[in-house]
Amino acid sequence: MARASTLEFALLKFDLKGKSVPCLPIRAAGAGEKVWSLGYPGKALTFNADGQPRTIDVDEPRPLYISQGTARDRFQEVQTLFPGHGDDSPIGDAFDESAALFSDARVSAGMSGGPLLGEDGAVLGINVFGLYYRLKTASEKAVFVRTEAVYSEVARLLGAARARRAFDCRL
Amino acid sequence: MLRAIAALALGLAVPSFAQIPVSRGEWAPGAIPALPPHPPCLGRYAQNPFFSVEVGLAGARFLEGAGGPHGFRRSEGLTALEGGGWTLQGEPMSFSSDCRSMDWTGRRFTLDNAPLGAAVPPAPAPFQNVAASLPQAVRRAAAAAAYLPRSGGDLSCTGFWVSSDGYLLTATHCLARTLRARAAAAVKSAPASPQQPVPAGALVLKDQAPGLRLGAGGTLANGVRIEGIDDFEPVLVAAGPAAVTKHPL
Repeated sequence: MARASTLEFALLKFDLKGKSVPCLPIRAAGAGEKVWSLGYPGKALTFNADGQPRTIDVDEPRPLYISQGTARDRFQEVQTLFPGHGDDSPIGDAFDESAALFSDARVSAGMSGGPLLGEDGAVLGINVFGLYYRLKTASEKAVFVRTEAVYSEVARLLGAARARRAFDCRL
Repeated sequence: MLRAIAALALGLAVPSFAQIPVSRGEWAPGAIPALPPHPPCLGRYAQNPFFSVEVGLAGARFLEGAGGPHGFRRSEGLTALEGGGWTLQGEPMSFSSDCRSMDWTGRRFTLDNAPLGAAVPPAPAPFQNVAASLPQAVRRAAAAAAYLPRSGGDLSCTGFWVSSDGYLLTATHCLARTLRARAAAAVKSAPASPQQPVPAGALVLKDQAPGLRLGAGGTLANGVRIEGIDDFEPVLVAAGPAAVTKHPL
């Protein structure tokens, strides 16, 4: 019986009928390394060419949004960037902070589940929630679940061989 | 008076405009009535990123994280001078001598924007899409990001392929509600270890489980330009719990 995880992630398998898709390898993040957050902002918000947020209609095509920031190991490191917000961690008690990766790469609603990339294009984390909302649905900081923690969890749940197969992607 | 003007300019909480001597958009001629008594410090005080209080001339406004993707909930509170001290909603509030902190209901709030006339919070910098100046590897990686419409709501999600033959990672809260319910049902049918009980909301799959098959209307869409995704029969093979975080995207 597999034990419950406290990591927020979902691994799905699609039967691509022999087709292949571009994929991303995963690796551990280095402290302070430059990172990029990718995602599709939802209906609530998107960005003009000048970077200003705006709302969009439901039928409008969503552009892929990419923001750049720095990886941080600890919530406290992010918190000190915004003094005056108090010392309480906004992370739920059930969240495993050791498996979290923080970044000041800006995110928006709809980017949940998106990858946090290193400069080499490898995935360091999965976007799970944002911090410091100055705009209604856009955040200046975000929390990611470390992909190496996800890999360990999948290996524990499904076995090492299945985990290797699931994450079999090379640059 | 300058404080009142500054309060209006800064958009601070002034619940009752009737208390401000304004006539047809201009200051009334002649003597201006004295301002009503107000707390010694004005401004927005934050306990944490999800709860702040704007202390204004004639009341207060609460800004509270709604716990969902739609931002914050606002409500208003009453300030009053009672027994020589100021209260908010009947509870005493006290300020530090420099107005940089406020104590209320046993909680410490820190000034988030200067009271009046002092430094105001910097305007948020533009959200800049850096897609035009990406490292080559990051630019290539963008092709593996998939747009995930979320069924039953306006918000969408993002996922990404971790293998070329169809394994995709995303956040648990991006899964359709029905799928989460089916996964939770699977948890209930599997006895948990008394040593490690299953936390509420957790999705646990048995070892070597075939996974949960998404029904008709599987929601993965473009991103990698896969059409007719129903034909691809996505299966949830492993997941952690959703909603363990306070502000999912």
